Amino acid sequence: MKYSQFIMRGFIFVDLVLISSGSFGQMQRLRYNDEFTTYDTARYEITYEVKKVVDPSKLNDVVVDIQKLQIGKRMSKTFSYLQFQNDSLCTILEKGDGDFPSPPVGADNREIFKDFRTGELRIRERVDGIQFCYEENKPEFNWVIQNRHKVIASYPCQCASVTFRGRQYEVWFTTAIPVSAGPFKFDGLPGLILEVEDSKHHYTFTCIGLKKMTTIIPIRSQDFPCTATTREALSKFQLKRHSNPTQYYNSMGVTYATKKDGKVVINPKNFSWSYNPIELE
Amino acid sequence: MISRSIYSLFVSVLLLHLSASSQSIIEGRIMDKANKPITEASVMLLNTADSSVVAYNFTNQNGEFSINTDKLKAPELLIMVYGFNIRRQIKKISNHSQKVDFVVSEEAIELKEFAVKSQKIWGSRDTVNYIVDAFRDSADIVIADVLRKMPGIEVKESGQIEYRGKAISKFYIENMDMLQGRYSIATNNISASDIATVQVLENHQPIKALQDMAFSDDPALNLKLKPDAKGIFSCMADLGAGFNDDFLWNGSVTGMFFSKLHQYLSAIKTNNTGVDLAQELQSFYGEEDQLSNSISSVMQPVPPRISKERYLFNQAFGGTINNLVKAKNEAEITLNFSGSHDIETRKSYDQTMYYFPGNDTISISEQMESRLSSYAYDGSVGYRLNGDQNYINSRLSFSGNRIENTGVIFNKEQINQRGENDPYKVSCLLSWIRRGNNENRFGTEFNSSSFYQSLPYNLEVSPGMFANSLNDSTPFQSVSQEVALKDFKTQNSLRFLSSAVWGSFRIHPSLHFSMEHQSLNTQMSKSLDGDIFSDIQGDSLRNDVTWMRLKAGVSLTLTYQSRNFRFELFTPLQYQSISLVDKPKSAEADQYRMTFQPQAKVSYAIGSHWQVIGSWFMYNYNPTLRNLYSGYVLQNYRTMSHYDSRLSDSYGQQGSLTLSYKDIIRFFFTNLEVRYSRYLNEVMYSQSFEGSLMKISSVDLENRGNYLSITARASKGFDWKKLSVNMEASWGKGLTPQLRQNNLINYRNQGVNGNITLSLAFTERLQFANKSSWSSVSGRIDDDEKLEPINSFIDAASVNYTFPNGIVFSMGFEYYDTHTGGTKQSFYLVDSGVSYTWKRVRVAVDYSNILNTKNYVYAYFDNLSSYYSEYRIRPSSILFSARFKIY
Repeated sequence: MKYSQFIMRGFIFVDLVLISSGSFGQMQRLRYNDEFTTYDTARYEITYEVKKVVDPSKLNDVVVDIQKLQIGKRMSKTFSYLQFQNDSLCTILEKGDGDFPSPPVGADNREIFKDFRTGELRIRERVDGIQFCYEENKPEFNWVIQNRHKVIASYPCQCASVTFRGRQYEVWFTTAIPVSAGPFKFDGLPGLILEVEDSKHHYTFTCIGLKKMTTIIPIRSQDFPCTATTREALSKFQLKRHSNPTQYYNSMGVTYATKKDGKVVINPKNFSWSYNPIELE
Repeated sequence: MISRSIYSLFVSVLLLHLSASSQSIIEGRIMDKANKPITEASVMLLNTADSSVVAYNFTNQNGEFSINTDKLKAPELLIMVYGFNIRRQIKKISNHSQKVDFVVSEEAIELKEFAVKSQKIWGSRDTVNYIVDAFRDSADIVIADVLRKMPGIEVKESGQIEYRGKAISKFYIENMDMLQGRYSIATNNISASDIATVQVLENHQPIKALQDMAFSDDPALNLKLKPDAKGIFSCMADLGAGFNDDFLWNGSVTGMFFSKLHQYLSAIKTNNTGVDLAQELQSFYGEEDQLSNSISSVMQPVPPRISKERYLFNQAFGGTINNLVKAKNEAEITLNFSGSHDIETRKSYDQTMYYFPGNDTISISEQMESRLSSYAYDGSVGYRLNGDQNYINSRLSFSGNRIENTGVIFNKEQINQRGENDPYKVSCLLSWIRRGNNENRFGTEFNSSSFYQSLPYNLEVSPGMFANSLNDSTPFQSVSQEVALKDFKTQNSLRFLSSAVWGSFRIHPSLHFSMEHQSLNTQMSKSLDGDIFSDIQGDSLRNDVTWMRLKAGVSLTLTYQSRNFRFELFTPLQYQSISLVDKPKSAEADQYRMTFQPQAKVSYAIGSHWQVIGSWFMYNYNPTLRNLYSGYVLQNYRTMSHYDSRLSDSYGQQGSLTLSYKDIIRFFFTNLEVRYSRYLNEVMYSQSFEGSLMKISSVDLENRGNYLSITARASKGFDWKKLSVNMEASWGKGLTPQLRQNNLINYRNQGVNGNITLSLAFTERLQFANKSSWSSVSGRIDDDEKLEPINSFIDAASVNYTFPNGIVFSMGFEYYDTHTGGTKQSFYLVDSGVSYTWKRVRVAVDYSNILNTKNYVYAYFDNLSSYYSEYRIRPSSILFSARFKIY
């Protein structure tokens, strides 16, 4: 019940109706083929439950995602398991002639690959059927180790704090798992990060599963075409897209409709989606 | 001054010295047993007391590390080396700068695995539950108000519900489909406080026997009632009153009852405010229960394509009763009935211009008034058993109407028309699926749908028209005509529940069989005086014809898909037999042939910016009895038609190609689309005029036509005041041969149009939008004579302002301008409205057509003809309305 409330509470992307205006506006979608690039083999898989506040003015409206961190010898990958399940379903549907389900509510649209040797990050982020790709140098985390302890899933954890791209975080890591990794882009502590929360309680990551791989699970990505960009350009685009979705969809030739004050409004003029990205800078 | 500087310098040096000496630097190197450096291993300094991390670092490419720590913190520390696949080592060291090296051995990490069962995992057949009370606020009265707020759910103006942009395929109340798609009666009348949860069944396959094989991404909606709302009767109401030249009313009362084994909902409604009741009671499931048009009719004003509430003059009363009973074997039996009575009046002034070679025209001016009284009814009874291996769905539906239509035309003289008809339609649907119990679950699916409809029409026109043909060129009092058109059709398909796959190719086979049978009987009679009518003799003035078409064949659907390329080919191959029996002419005709009507679609994506889509299809069309009777039929007071009983064919093909470019990050999109079609007809429909009266007949004359259009579109969003601009321009040209007064005319039509839409927000509370469109269409007869173009311009602007207390004020302005030849017509329409929700009552005031504009003026070209119309619209009116729950 608790979960269903999280789901039903407002999520930015689901309150839209797109009416294709003739042959003009056609929303592009990804083609799901069984074509992948494999980078490594996962040795460990860490599962996090991620809770996000979509609208900073409504702290109780939370959406939930399940994210997995796969750790290999040379590489790690973080992705949304909800999105992954949806992709698997779409890949099956692509072979039939059915239409496609929308992305699941709450699912993060990013895949983050980390190269252990260089520390470089490769991010693939999907927006409406387009996959944007960019790279980042190893992010700087100036961790401050705190002398506070707690036990998470029978692992003794220690607290560390950091300010990263506009948010202050408190994280809990365990030296019992000597893997310097964590959810999202978090990294650089002498042990696995099991919990993360920002000071405003907008983003929380809680480890809900830990598994050592016994079968061969590749760390791979589906070969969607990539539109190269930078983190700065993409976050500017996302801000603009959220602040004026009507303009965004219209510019693609798609009519946007939503409801305002209980009425369906076609191409609402002064309308925006709440936007609360994890990276504020 | 100097002494202060020296003092500062002294303090700085002292501090620097202290900080350097208070730090221990622990350095070292980590090697494996083969003396190879270990990189990226973590090295930690831990408190001896609780093993908490004090400082840490990672080894570099050479296996070296260096950690700084506070000397004063502890006299002793633990140093730990641990890594991905190295065995943990711990040493105790004293807290001062030193070098500590390690030789480590390999060891995989021992993990204590754990997993918290994640509760919401999104799957293929998932259910999203919305708790109604979490979304409901004091302003919400009925469940539709709350549905509108639920993320992902949209309720459209028509009442249709969409989930994430897709119309719901089923609407259930407590998992039972009582309303068979007429769900807007439920959503607009069930009290929000009675519903516990709204469930969206994503990817809903309503047929259990197909759930393992046929993916569906159709959403369905289920309303779950609160326990205390079950088994009790509740009631909602809507009330409105206002005035224009007359008193305006608007009201409805709805009662309902829901229990485990029985559901019931009924409503009565009435209004004269231009709300079409028949549309409110419609089903959203899209089954073909609608009646076809008759082949004869009263000539009445044709409404413009604008919102009905602008022009519909009505007095409507209607109601609906819906019932569902659940049987012991879980089968659902449903019973639905709805009926409405409507009186509609229309008024217009129309000009129709028919063109001929040599600058000749026939112009007909008609001042028209009509009144239509209808008693429409429809209903259905259904049985549905939804088992894992067996599925049976059968429905029997009927619909009908009883219409009395009168029309008066003021042409040169007054012409009175009277039409009476009582069409009805009975249709039945049967779906049956049987799946095996074995591993592969082979099975068969059979679908059958059939209907029978009767479309009679009795038309009376006075004075009598077509005196030349009907009364030896002597004027007469009135002409009357009885038409009886009967139509039966059955369509059946059999599908084997498995499909062939070959690499990226897929093939789906199915078998089809259909039969259509139509019969037409017509008889004209005339009256020279009084009410005494006598049949007009002559085989050319009556019909007794039957027509039948049988089709049987195989369809193959072939698809190929790769990431950037998609191809679909649909190849229905059918054997077709058509027979026609014309009794008055003692003529019979038969036609047998194989038809092949392939369709193809290709799309190719070039990178993420460009895309090309092409489609093409071929068709073969045969006229039905509507274009095959040989005796004259009075279509309306000034058109008489007859065709030949010759079976003919039309062939054609259509193709389109679209090239699109988009730069999504710059909010820019553009495309170019080319469409082309051509056809070949074996017969032509000739029009000949006697004054303003037209006769249509068919002539064996092979003719070809074509049409080409090019459309360009572009749009762009800007940051400034959230400005958005959309532009579209198109050009089209076509050739449509016409046979008029025995002249074959190569009629070429040509048109251009453009429109531009922009919207912007001046402030957060004040928004503005505008759409302008312009078009110019004209025609050309046989390459030389150019017809006067029709130019029209429309501009529509709207402004909205939201006051801080929640009252919303809106205002709309529209300007229309039409130029035809030397004449120009223009008019304005202005509307405004205020709305507010107070406790559990929603109140609104609408002031429509403020300038009291009388007519909507529009003009357009059709084949070799132009039309101009001034259609009466609803006058200026004020309407107050409220909605609330009775109990």
